[in-house]
Amino acid sequence: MRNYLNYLENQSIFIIREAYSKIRNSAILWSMGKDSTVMLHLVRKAFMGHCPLPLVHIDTGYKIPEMIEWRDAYVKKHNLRLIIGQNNKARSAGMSPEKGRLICCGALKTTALIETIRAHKIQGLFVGIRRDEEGSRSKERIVSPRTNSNTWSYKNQPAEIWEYYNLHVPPNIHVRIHPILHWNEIDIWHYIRKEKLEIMPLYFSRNGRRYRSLGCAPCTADIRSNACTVDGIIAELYATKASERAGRAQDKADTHAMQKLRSFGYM
Amino acid sequence: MATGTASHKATGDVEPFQVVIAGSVDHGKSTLLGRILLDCKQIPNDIIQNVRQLCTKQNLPIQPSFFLDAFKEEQEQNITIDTTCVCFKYAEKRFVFIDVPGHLDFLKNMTTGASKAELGLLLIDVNEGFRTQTLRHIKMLALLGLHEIIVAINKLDTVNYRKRDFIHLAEQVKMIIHKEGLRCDAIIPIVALTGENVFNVSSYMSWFHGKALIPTLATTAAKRARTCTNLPANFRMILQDIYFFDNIRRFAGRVISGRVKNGDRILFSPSGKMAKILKIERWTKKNAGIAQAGDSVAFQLEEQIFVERGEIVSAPDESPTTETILGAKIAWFGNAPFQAQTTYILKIGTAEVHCHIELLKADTQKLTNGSFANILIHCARPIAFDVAPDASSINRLVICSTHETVAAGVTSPYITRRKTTKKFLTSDYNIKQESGYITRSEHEKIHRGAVIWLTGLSGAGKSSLARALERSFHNQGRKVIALDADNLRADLCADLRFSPQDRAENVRRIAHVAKLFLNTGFIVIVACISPYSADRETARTIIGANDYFEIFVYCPLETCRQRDPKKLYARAAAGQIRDISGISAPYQIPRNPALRLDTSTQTISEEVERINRLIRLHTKNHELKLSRK
Repeated sequence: MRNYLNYLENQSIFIIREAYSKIRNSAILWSMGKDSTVMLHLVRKAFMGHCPLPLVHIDTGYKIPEMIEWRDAYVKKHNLRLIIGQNNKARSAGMSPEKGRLICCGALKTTALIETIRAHKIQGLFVGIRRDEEGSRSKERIVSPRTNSNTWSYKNQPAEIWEYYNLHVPPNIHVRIHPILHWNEIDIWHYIRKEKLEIMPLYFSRNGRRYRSLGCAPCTADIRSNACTVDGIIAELYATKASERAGRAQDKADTHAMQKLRSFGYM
Repeated sequence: MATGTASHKATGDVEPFQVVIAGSVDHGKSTLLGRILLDCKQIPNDIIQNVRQLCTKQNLPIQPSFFLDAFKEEQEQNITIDTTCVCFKYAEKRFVFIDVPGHLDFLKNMTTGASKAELGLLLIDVNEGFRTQTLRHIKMLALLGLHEIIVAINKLDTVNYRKRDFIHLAEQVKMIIHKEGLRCDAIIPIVALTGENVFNVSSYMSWFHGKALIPTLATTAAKRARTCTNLPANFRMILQDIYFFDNIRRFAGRVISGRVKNGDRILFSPSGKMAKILKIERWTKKNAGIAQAGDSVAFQLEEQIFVERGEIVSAPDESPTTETILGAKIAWFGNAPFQAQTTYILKIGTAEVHCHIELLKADTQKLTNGSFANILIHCARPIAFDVAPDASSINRLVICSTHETVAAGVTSPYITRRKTTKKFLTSDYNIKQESGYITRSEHEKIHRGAVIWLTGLSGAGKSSLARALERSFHNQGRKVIALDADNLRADLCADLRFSPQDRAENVRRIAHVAKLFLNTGFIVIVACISPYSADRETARTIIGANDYFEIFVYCPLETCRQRDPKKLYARAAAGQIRDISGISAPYQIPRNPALRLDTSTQTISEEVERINRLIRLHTKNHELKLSRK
């Protein structure tokens, strides 16, 4: 019997290889979270253990310190090329969530990302978003172009028929490639278990609390949980009645907050 | 919005069953899907809370469609703009429901969603009935290769659950679906908003004796899973890229159908190059040994050959068709209408070629968003593809302008139009054809002629069969002649070798000889490998499709190799000869033979009897026509 995780994996590897064969100047957006770490593993699977692309991490300066430590150790261990994107101008001007959550996300994440894409002439950006995370992501294409002003024209997305992706990229625009768009949260954890992946320790319970979704320290709440193993997390997800991003404050800053953020180029 | 927190209990099962919910705008597609998610308690509490707040703000009761229509614009205008899908588990089977927009403006989004589906669930508002978009969606589902549609007639509450209204519409719908060549085994009256007849049978419609919607889908999914596993399929892989890591050259791609293993000989089309697989890899496994449908793999070859992205990999004796002209059925959804002078890009598998499109038949005068058409595609260079109705073959294509996909469709059978030599000679050398000889119908006073064209690998049993057939027809008192290509190569075709060009010329000459005999009322038996489908089509054109009977003499390559009557395989293995069909040169299997015989399982007398029956039918029709005269 063919395994469901194999089915997901085969599809993701196909997407990664398609994108890489058409757009060599691409990069992997890595937040060190569970999803982008699974995506990174799939990239290595696609290229026989190699990661021929650089990683991009957008550092807002508000990340939980443990995340940065883990990031640097992981990069060193796996010999990866890491590009760190930061909006230094906004940071030195004192940008913070108090200025408004969406304004802060826009400056420290979106702007930093767009500047990094421009500086490194990135034409294809692999992003580990999933349909089941949130409404505007659920409407995404596997290969999703951004306009030359880096916005997402979600009201007029290109056709994407069968597994034919639009990878002809005009100069001055970049496309987002979403290799794990069709995965669900629980698939990610089943896959982490199957492949025995190293995962950021913040996901596991310490003193009765853990993070289900990771972001900036001021805007990310942990949840009450005793799940300190992957098995424990999987069991918890079957039972829960709360959504994955319930602890992410920017989602609730406004109605359709994520749609607004993402239409301007947020991940 | 799409949610799936507790969508499945175990991950040890197979691929999900993908269902697209199609139908006209406002007939309740997103509402049905939202209702399904709510009823199976799949939506997290905080998300329900969010939607409730949104609805209260707009003075609405809770709208199930808002769970799918996540965009602000969608919720404000109560319309689906773009497609999404949700995962859901019922009776241990994993489903993916695909929500698509109903409005014509968003047809490309509908096609995007529907192209992933295996089954169509068509929703029709009982008040509105059949709409233009309903028909367009049915046509689109048929074009995308779906076989079956299940219909849900919605909003029965608005007609007081009246049976009459339902029956009336159901009959009409069934007829239209059948007309488009699709099956329709279930039509169910429902109320999507409140969930009547969705999971459970509704007490308001006790006159309806069928199953509720979701159990019906589960039955269909189970039936599909059973039939799918029984289908044998040729090996097909699409080549995505060639990697050179760790000083090793690897060929990466995805298996579309069939299976392949270490040590297998493979053919690349359209380049026609052949190689042997050294090992199949799937990191972290250094040697996976085998790959099957769906797998993304990479393999190393025994010999170093140069091929590029865009090839189709197959077994040498089961290759796809390679052509520069192909037929197709398409749906157009580009923003701009079709233009005859424009160069488009044709994509099949991973291949991309520039092409021009010739319109054969369209349902509208101009090809615009929402039109369906039969076309001929003229490619700048050869492209490989399958012409078969089953989805496991590589028959799906898209057509793109520079940065936009404008049409999608499937390849369709098309007999290559070639410049015939006859035309060429008469015009260039001023040869006038003489007439006044005894005509074919005079010759056929005794019995009708026919050409039985036996094609197959060397050693498949063509010559033995030709001999037995000739004897059989002779004993019946028929005028018969056997043309064995091997014998003709000694004289008529002595100047020809085994290059594709020479093989084409060989077939052309034999076809003309056969035609001469046919015109004098003979039954002609041709035994000729004729490995290229394009050459066989030439023969069909020369002889005339009515008198040409293509018989695929099939035998597994291994058995042919063991029989090896001419010691060709042995000499090929020893490196003495090249260009052996099925080994070092392609053999393109006939897609639509009049008969397919398997000589490894049938006896010669059985085969002779089957061909006899076929020809008897052919001549009988002729005799009937004669007696009527």
